[in-house]
Amino acid sequence: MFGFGTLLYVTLLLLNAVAILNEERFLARIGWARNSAELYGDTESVKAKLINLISAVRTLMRIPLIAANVVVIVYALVLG
Amino acid sequence: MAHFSGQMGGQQPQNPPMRGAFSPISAEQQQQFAYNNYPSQQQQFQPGGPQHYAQQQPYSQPAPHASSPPMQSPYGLFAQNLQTNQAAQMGMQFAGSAMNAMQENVQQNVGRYVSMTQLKHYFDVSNLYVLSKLRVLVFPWLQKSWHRYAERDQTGQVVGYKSPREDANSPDLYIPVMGLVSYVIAIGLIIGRLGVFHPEDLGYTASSALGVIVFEVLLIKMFCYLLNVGSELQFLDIVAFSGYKFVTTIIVVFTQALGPPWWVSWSAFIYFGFALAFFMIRSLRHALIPESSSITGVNVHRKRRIHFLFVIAMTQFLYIWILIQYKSSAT
Repeated sequence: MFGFGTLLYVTLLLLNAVAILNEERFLARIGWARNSAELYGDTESVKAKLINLISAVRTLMRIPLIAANVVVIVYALVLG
Repeated sequence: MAHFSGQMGGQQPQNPPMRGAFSPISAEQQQQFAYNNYPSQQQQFQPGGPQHYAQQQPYSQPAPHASSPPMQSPYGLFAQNLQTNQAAQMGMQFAGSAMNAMQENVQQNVGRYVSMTQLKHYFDVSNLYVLSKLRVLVFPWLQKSWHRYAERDQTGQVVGYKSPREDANSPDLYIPVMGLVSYVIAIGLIIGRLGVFHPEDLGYTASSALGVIVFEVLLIKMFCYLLNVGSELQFLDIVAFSGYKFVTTIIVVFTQALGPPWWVSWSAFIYFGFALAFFMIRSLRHALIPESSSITGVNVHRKRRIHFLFVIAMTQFLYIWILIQYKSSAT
């Protein structure tokens, strides 16, 4: 039930969800923008680290996520 | 037979001098050497072993004829053929060099991802350590001191922690690995007792257990990043601590299978869950929550870390509960 494959699917979906957050329409609206002024002094609060984490995922994982999604889609189509 | 057993257990294999395939050694001496050498030849299948086989030292044969009983063992003839057959010797040399190459290949490829010396540190355990750790996992209140001893190099600098052999509080990876395998086998046993065993159930169970471990390690790693927990809690430490739950899971699973009254298995679950939670809290307290005087420049949120520790301990219940929901492919 909670197999390794299920875990891979879940992480893929969650990473997709993080990757499609729009910077200017959503994150800036709720104050989680990347280049906001409040971040320059304080890089160690939980909020700053969370913002860094989200922006890092969005920057680094966009292209590998495309590949991983294509693989999973092909797998789901071909093998059910 | 006394001196023969001494020679079999010794480090130095004693071989007759190489005189070619048709050596005129007496049959009795040859059989004795063969009987001596067969167990030690098992030790020779190591890297560099068969090379030593070719360069031998002259043997010393104490009292060959006086106290030697007639050797009728089947191994004698086999080993005798091994020694006198040139092709078999070449085969053994080739096997030795092949294993050498394989070991180097594995070390190069795997060594890029995990550090082998660090892994070896976690597998450096002794029997006493394993027994005391199992006792601590089941009865954690008996342990008085949870302090981990720091390893210091020559100049007195702290370079890490002492290995599990010297420090009973240091986490190891032997018990988690053995626990994982034992858990898979235990679930297989229980499903077999129910009569609905299929071989792929072992794979499903292993995958489920690995999934729980990976999920927990990733979660803890992410929270460690968010809370600035840096080098106090290493990655392999997290893997080790998350693997200790297999010990309690196996106990709970067996009580669930053997005890028909429902309150037996539930009370075992609650007790062992609290034992594991207590163990995790006491073990991770020194890593996560530093004493107030040590760290000055880093902004340490004590309350958040205490909450984080509590969440780690309470989610152990959830993981154990997940692990005892074994579902075979038939039911």
